[in-house]
Amino acid sequence: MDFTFATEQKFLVLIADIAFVGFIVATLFGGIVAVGARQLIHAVLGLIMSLMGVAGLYVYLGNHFIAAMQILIYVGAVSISMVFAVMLARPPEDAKAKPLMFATKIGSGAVIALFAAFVVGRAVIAHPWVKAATVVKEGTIRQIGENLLTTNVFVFELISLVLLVAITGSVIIAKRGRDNTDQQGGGV
Amino acid sequence: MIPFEYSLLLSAILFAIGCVGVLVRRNVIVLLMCIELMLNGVNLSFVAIADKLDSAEGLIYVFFVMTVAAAEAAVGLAIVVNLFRHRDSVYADEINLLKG
Amino acid sequence: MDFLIESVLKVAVVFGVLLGSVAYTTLLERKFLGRLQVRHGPNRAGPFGLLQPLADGLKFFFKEDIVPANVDKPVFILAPVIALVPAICIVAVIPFGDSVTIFGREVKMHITDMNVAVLYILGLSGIGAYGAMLGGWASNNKYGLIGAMRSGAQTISYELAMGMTLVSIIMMSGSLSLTKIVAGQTFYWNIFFQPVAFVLFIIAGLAEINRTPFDMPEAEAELACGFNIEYSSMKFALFFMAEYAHMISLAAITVCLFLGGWNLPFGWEVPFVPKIFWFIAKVFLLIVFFIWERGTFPRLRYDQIMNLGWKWLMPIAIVNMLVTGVVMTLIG
Repeated sequence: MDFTFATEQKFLVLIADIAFVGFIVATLFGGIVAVGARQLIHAVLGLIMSLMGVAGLYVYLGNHFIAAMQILIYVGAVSISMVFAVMLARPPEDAKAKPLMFATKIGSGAVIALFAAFVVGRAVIAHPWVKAATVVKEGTIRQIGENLLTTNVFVFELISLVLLVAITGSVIIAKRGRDNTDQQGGGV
Repeated sequence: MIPFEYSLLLSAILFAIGCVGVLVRRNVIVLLMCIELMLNGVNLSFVAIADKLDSAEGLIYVFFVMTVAAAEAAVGLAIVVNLFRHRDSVYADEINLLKG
Repeated sequence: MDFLIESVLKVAVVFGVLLGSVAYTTLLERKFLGRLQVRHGPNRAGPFGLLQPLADGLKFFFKEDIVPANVDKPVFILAPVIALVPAICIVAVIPFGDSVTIFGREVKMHITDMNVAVLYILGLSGIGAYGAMLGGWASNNKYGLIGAMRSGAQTISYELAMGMTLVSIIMMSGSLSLTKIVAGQTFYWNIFFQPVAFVLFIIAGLAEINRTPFDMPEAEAELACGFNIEYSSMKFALFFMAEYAHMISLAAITVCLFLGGWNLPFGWEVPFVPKIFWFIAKVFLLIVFFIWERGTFPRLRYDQIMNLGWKWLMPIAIVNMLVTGVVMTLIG
């Protein structure tokens, strides 16, 4: 997209770009912390930082709805249950875990990851990105909602089935391990 | 304005970080977190391309990915907690009962 | 450039007013709660104890800041900040009044009018839960850990019920923006159509901000203050401020969603009274209500809280949503 901005707005665009760079740094730094931290809780914090950075990028890309969903689902639900898991399943030797970094493992991981990125990147760059003919940028939420209940209604129903199965499954798994315990009531 | 290729590059790097994490770490909780990172990389590229193409199609898939990720995390963490109760370990290489 | 200056000014004003009201809400709570329990409350610092918040602030500031030996230091320091920042950020999307004209320039009485404001609020209150959880975990203290787990479980459970309740309001107003939701209530407030949702929202909100009948995370009687047990000085003050900021923003959000924002019901107008006055009056009354119920209800047991959330609020909210949908379809 190439807009031409009035000089007054250029400053705002500059601020937005600085924010974009900030979000990128947050995303990458958070990701590295999530992978590399020794303390589990620090890793979860890194994950949260990375997820919030991605949410910020969504805002920059103009999708407030997706950004809000990202914060609501990933930060508000998924990561909280991660923190729960860390609290419940606290490995006793957490801090003095075995050596973390093996050069060969890191190397092989990086090679595989770069290969995947290369393949995908080739495909992305080779693909001629053409805009769809009918586009309305207004009302993303309405657009998504209508699309969910018309074009993708089958996937939508399938997803709700997946969610139902997941809820039931996790309740059953969590309940079975708890027969003899003294935990407080209520499951998450 | 920042070109959309940067977003794609970032999403590739995010995916790579998650991928390395899955290969390097042994803690199952961290493995789940790395999977979330990889899914986020994918989501980011969906959104970037949807923005580039001005279409809502990519956003729908982001929606689906998020839903499935939430379900996956719920089940995965329930398994992890149960595993810890039974085997006192959350390390992937110590969970080897099925190895024969 | 005007836009930028205006925004910065607005943020500064709202921030200052919020912090001021946080300080004086603590005084209001102590005075009013004291009266409910037939005692005076603070009355030494200044006339009617009006300088008490200042004295409290100074005291917090000059207390020794203790970091216990075995805490997870970065998380321990970060937790109070994580608790406070979302509580303040929520205020950014709340519309306080209609637009007014200052120096010949139309100024809207909100910092930003986000088109997904309701989701933003839900998301931020989810982030706020991390403050208590991480604080309790990092303290390396059994009471702290129990408080942290309770806080997390309670927040997730009630956030679900809250979201379900909000869906019926969103269906009625057809928008996620608070400004539009308020604009739709100039004649009939949402509470007239959705009394059930109002009650559910208040209950879920009180649980979400860990207010008294639901203050399991810090239950003094059994957990000795729970997640903030190891905190002292300014770090404790940050948790404390977060609690009251949450209370004020919950009141403001309830006013916007159910009580017509800055509007009087049935399109009534009172001359010479700026509309923001009605907003402030409603928020004030709600805060008084929150203090009143704190003085009235005993604390619930933990399993009772979980049962209430999952077995009562959630189903009622879903049924309310269904009924709203059916009625809206029938009426057209």
